[in-house]
Amino acid sequence: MQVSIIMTFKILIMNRKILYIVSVTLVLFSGCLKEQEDLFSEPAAIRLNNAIGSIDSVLTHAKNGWVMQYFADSSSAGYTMLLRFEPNGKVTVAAKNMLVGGQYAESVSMFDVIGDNGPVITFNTYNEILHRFSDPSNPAGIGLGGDYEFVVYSYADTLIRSKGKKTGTEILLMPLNEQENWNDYLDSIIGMKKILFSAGSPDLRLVVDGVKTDYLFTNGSSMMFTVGKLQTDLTYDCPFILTHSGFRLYNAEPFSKKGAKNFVLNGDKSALVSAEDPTVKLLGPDDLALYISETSVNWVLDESLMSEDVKILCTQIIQSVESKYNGVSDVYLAVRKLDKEGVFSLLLGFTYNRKIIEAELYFDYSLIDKNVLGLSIRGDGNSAGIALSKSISGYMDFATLLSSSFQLSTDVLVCPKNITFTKQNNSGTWFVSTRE
Amino acid sequence: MNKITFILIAICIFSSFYACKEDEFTDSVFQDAPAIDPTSPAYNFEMWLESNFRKPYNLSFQYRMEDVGSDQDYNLVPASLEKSKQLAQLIKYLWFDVYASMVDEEFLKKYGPRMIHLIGSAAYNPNSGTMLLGTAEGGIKVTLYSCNDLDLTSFSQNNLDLMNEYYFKTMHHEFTHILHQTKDYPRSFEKISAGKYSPMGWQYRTDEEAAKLGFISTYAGSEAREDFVEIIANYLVKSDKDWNAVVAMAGTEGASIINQKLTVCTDWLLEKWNIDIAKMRAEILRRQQSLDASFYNNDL
Repeated sequence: MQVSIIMTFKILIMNRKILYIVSVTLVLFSGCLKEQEDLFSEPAAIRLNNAIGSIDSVLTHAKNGWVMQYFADSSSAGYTMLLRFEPNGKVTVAAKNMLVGGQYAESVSMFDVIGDNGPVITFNTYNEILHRFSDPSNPAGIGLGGDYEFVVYSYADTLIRSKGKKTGTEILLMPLNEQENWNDYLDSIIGMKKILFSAGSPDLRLVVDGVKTDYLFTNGSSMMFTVGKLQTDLTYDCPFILTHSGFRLYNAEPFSKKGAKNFVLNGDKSALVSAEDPTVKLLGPDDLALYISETSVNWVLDESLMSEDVKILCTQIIQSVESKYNGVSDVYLAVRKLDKEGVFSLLLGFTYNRKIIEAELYFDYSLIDKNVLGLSIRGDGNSAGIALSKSISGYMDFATLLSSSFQLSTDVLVCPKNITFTKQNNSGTWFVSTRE
Repeated sequence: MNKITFILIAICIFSSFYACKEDEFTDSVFQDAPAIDPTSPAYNFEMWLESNFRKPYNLSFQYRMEDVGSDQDYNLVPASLEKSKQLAQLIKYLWFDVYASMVDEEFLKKYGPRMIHLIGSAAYNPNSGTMLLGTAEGGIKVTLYSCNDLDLTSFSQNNLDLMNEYYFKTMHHEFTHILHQTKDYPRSFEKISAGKYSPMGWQYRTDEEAAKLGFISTYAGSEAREDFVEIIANYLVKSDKDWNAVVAMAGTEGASIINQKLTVCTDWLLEKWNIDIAKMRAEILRRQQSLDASFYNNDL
């Protein structure tokens, strides 16, 4: 009995051994069965070296350099810099913004393309322009919090996509046209800012597929929209960078699910249209009359852009002021809405004996129709207005002319800077006013 | 021993001899000077560094910032090429040439750092309100910060004091760390101000408070080894007038402690390194006073 048990146990052990051998053999054969092809044709180190060489070549082959769209971090305004890379390691950086005193500025330093977290463009000697964003001196230890080393994650002759090594902020490089003058290019961006964003610029409404959304883009002059959702308290900060044709949002989410980031001022300047999806637009005011009645800024009359009858009165007023106040300067006429009084005024302003005089005559107003503003003289004003209406020749006559209905029009509907007032009952009487 | 074992041993012995045969050393541990484009803005400077630092001292002078070689705890920016050129010449004149002439030419070749890394900005620590001016790592690498603040437009006393604080004192401070990391300073030094060090709160002491406690600077009050190198670095770069002003501010008790520390440092330098600190100081001060705008080679 005992022998029988031992034999059975031995057989079991032998069977188990056979089982193990068969299993291991099967595993080995299955491992050999399918030869996995390498995902990459070369080892990582060689691919990295090749990428470094290629990126260096792409950078230095753009004869007129690159436009860098730079964000210090994902929650601050974007800045444009122009960069020219040379094969000897020299890089020239140019900018024209408030950080460099508002004037065109260039700075020369050195760059390299190195292997770090992938191929990295490093600006490894100090550049007065580019390193302003990463210099930690003010506030101490932090500065503007930007990067000066950029991990490249895609590159081509037409676009280099990179991310700041520390912040992960997306930085784009695009080649500049060979004929483009650097200073002129930067001026074109400043020009776009003047067109789109200045004091009293209207809010922009997001429209998708022709339907107004609840999202309103405000306060663009700081390159950081506050996007509010109507009927709610929800607001989002939305940084962007100006381009020569419009602007690029750092991140469109969550305002539009269509990936719209680049907005271009369209041909008739009535809208900013998404380059990614033309059905996504940003629109300015619907009604100019409503817009100027809600915007408390001066609409200053341009003496070179007015009908003859208006010009005669303006000249008469200015000459009268100059003759009465010896040494007077900065004489102007403007129309403006006074929030406190709830009225419009005809403003006659000038500087005399280093004092700023603002004389105003008041008008009731009505929104007669879309883009039609009705003004009706009240016969009152501030104390200077009442006094000067009696002593300045033509002032009261102009106020009387202004007491009428006007058709309003503009050349940049998405962001009116100049508005033409044309008398509804006499199209030969008109003047252009500029928002200041 | 069978045949196979014998053959294996023979192969091993042959291989080891073969490996030794090909192991030839070059002049420097660093790779040969890189082929630099002669049109590069840094070409002349690189050539100057090659003949003044890499070849004679086996030293890599890194003025093009290497982020991975810097302290990742801080936000930093590179030094400008122009400031790097100026600082490199100052480092040679006020540090390397001093040791070459006052000790011997081999001293810094043997004990000097193998790497100097220039950083443009200070290493700010916003939490403590302090900033790092330099570091010495393992006797190998010296990092100097705030290089972009170097101002050579004037050589007034004020400017010299600032340069001393930011750069010259920092050089000697960091090098003294290397020296005591090689040959330790006397343990008796640590007993002089034991109990008065404040590693986390030294920056809140005023200069006068620190001096009265027997510290030559506020930073000296952080820990003993910093105290030790601060005594030497301050003594080397401060004029008699400036040194005596701190000692006077320290009062009788503080002055006595500072002088006691100076004696320990003086003896240690002489006994361990054969350096006469008084003579070296005189040479450094002479060189500092001789600096003017014509000192710099602007063609680098």
